[in-house]
Amino acid sequence: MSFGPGLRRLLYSQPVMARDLRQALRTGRTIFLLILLAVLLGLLILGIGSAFGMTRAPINFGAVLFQIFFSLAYFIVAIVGPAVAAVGLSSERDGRTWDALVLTGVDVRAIAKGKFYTATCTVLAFLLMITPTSLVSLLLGGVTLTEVVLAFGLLAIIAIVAVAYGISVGAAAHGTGAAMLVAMASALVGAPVLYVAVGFGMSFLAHGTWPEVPSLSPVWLPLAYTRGRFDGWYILLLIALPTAMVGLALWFFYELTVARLSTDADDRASGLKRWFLVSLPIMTAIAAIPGAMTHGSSRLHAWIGGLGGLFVFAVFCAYVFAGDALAASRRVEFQWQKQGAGWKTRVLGPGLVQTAMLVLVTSLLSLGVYALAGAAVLSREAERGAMPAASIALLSCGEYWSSFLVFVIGFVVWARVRADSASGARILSTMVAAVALAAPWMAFLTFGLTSARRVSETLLIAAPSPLYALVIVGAIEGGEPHLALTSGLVCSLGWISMGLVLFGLGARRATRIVAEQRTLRANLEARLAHEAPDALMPPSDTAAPTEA
Amino acid sequence: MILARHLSHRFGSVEVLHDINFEVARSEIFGFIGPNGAGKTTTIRAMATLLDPWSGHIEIDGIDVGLEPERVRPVIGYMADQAGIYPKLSVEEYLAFFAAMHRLDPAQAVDRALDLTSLGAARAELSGTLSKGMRQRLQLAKTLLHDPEVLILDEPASDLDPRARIEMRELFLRLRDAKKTIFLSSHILTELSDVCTAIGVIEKGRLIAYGPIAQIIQELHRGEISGVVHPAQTGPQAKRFKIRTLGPADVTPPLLAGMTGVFTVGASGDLLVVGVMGGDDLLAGVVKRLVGAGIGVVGVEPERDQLETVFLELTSKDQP
Repeated sequence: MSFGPGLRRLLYSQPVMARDLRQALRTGRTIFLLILLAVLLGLLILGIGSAFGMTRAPINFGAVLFQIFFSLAYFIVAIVGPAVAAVGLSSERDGRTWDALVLTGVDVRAIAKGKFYTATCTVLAFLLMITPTSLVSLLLGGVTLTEVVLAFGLLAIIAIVAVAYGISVGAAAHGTGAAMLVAMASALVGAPVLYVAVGFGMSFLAHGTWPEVPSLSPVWLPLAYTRGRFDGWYILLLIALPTAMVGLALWFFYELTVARLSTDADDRASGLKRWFLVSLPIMTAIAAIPGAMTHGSSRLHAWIGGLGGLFVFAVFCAYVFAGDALAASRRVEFQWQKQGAGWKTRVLGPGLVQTAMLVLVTSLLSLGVYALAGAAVLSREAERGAMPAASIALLSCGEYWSSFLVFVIGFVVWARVRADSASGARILSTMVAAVALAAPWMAFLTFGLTSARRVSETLLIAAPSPLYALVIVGAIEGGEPHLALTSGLVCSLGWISMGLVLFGLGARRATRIVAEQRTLRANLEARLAHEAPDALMPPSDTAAPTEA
Repeated sequence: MILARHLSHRFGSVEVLHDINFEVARSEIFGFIGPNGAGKTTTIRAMATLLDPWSGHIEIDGIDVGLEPERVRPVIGYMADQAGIYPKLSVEEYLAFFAAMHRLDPAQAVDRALDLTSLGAARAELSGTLSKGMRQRLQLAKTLLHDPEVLILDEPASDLDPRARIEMRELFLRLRDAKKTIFLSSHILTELSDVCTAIGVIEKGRLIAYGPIAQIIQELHRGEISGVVHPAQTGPQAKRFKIRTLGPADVTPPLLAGMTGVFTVGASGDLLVVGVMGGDDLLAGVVKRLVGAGIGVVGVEPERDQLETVFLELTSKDQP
């Protein structure tokens, strides 16, 4: 074999990875690109170092250079990583080699893992190439070796998540061009957003919790690890929270990739449902962290922020599960029968209506538990004998958003069954949700502000928007809750009613379609059983000769 | 060995397969023919576990393809029409990779596949530098790596030169002797008629004939295939001619329809098959009519290939 000794060993354990590496070494395109990026990054850092290092004290400039270097490296990894991974997987479909891979009997999971390992190796090789450049900041002072090593470790974790995301994009794309475009375009939008939110945004919180961590430093996490005081918050915020977020993200991308690579007849739901059932309580707990950490007047807003995050997560999951099959396929039912599957396996299996019901019930439960827990915490801060306004505000907000969630899930089910495609249902649902969110406010801006009535009265026009929940919160805090609460309650009842009606219509139609398919199958099976195997005849309308 | 019953499939609202039924016995070479878009590849992909048919039942070696694709895959070897290769891998590396995917010892499996397909001399060449015909052979070698019981081959000889075609034909016969079942589709009908024990003709998603070639011809000439040949119009004087035209011959059947003495007209590509009942004068009249209509006639020869006749006559059913 002309695979070298190292690759030959790899060929038996990870054939896809061994082959990809063999090709990459021979082509050299990706390696050349990464070397080029590493050289450019090195030159840039050296240029900045020599241009500004003369005018500043080295101890300050080393810390600045550390931030610049790892920020640039983050952008390269977060943008190039997904593209490399997405192209790696989609090239099999584009190059018409995917079918050959599947027909070898190797599971799609193993193929996806092979692609994941190759892309991870490539991006980690890039990190290795830029290691010498990072030493410049270390030499100038201001950061320790441990901090630089930790920064590299975190960059490697970001690279792994970016590659996992890229693989999930490549699994859905039908060509390398589309895969690269989607992966790079989404990374070009997502990477700066995360940089600002988790980098700059969280650095303020980190500075508030550990004053030794400088604020306005996007690369704050490695500094927090070495400079933060080791206590319960340290374990929760710097160890448990990042581990949970990275773990859940990797698990989600893995299940999404497997679902996208499987066919409609396979079980594409169980893995994602397991992920959802584990993620939901974790996300509920994570959403409660800002509320638990904040004190004083902004505590209610921290709880509402967490509630909003949880609501968005539930909506996201509803959209993800729009891709579920209407019911378990014959193949899945056969597998269940063979394995003697119990009710748990069946509940976690494919089936749009049961999945939507699961998402609805568990999400409402989570939102309810979160709102009640928040209300209980907030009520302790209320003055004795006074109405716990903050608790009522949080519960009202939770009630409104839960009602809207019922509508969103009901609409997704209805649209999925009507549109007969997940992407169609998702687009339609997004459009309707956007209209529900924005249209009442546009109506308020058009008619409400020009009206002679008081703003608190004309704000009623915006009541159907889920954002009106924040108006209710303001009204309760302002001591004039009645009008806002009543209008909010009416609108939330409207959303619940519409959601349940749409859910019912969707479920009825789905049941009818599934029943029709099962009848067709039963008829076919009866026909097959009735026909003797040796009496195989061509279709009656062809009048062709019979098999000899 | 292969059993397809009541197979139907749709892409959206378009029905591409309609109630397809056939059976291929062990050690049989079954030719699957039909015009482009007839449903050949859809049928083949359903058999190869790559497509879940909308309705119907396929069994390979007694295993339900729809229910247990993972058990069917080791039994079959599928060679797709214009399948891709990894251009930066050598022939040997390419086969070693697929052998490893099949959990086989690459050294043994690769040598065996190279021997079978006579690719040994090219083992160190990069796949991307191979000619089309060599790539086709490489695909076949990959298909044979795990020694499958059933070979499903979509247009296996489309890019081969005449020598390679002859070699491949001999290989098919050797594989049949080794008790392999071969299901192959091809546009090259002479190639099929030389090796196939039975054929299936598919058009517009319907299997319009299937069985041994000789039997189909016999039935066809008995007029049992409706609307193609009318027994009253055929007889000892009936002759078939192949007329090769300059450009597509599809436009010609209406010109000859209803012409006295012409009992059948079929067109495929630049080939026109005309059945006439009469002497050379009648044939000359046919050519004159074609030339008069501005159609260039390149050659006229008596029709010899039986399978071409069957194919053209069966698939000309809906033409005017």
